[in-house]
Amino acid sequence: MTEVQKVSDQEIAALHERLAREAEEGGYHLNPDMPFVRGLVRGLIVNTKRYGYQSCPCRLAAGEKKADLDIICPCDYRDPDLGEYGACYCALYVSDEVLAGKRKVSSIPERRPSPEARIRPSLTGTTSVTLSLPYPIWRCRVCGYLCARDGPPDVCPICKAKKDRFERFF
Amino acid sequence: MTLPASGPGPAGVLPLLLVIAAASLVLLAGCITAPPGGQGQPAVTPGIPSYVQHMPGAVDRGSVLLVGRSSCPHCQNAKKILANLSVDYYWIDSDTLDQANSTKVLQAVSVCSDTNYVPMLVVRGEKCVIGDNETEIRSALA
Repeated sequence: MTEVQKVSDQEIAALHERLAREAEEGGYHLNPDMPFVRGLVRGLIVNTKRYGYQSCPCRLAAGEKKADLDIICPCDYRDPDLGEYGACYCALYVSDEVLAGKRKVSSIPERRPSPEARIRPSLTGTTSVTLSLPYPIWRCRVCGYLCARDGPPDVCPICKAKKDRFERFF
Repeated sequence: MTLPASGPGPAGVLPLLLVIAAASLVLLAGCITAPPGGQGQPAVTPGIPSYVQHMPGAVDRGSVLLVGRSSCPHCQNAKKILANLSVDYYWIDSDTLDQANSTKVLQAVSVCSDTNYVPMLVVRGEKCVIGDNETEIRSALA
């Protein structure tokens, strides 16, 4: 057994403040239920201390970044779940409707594919469209942000996902 | 969610659940003295891996296993639901597992789901509920 990671109230408050600010800047919202969100934020900090990355607090991490890349918060499934259910799986992020109290969050079914299906084929070369572009196009797998440049940005300007969450789109 | 008819073979997959089921039978037969913990309080049970906590309850629904994380609010809610129902169950907190035991648990619960969502409730090795929906949990325990 490993020691349970200790997390201070100050750490939770600091990350909560940052996540809330970044969410609003990108057009997203954190769940307004403060005690609930603080529990999730604590889980993110526990995972960061344990694995070195903030994997989803409501999924079992494999402990290997490559295998857990799709469940690093914000996860690859946040936006589809927000659109369909009004919240991401762990309900850290909620939609406008939920924030306004017009919709309630209920149980969200599993969206994550099986391990075999998670291995995505490289999009490069799979399109039938032949393009001649001065720069490659990079896509953020979390929010879909596209940019044309030599390499992906260090941080997605929309959802703040890190560089390794980008895939080459064209 | 009911367990799929086919899936990974028993080797390396079901032993954890079988251990729990066997321990439940032993407890029923009275071969082991009542655990020291009160209802809803974790207790140490001989024959069960140390990372599996027995949460004693007055209601026996066979072997009931809840896999989750101490840092997941949904998992804490699932625990509250089981406590309110006074169900006797076993709890694995994946936050405290080392890599070897974590892999063992992931393999064991992959018979339910390989998406790694928690909380994951396994009832009698037959039914599986992912999430903390009280209606689904009650239905699986029926």
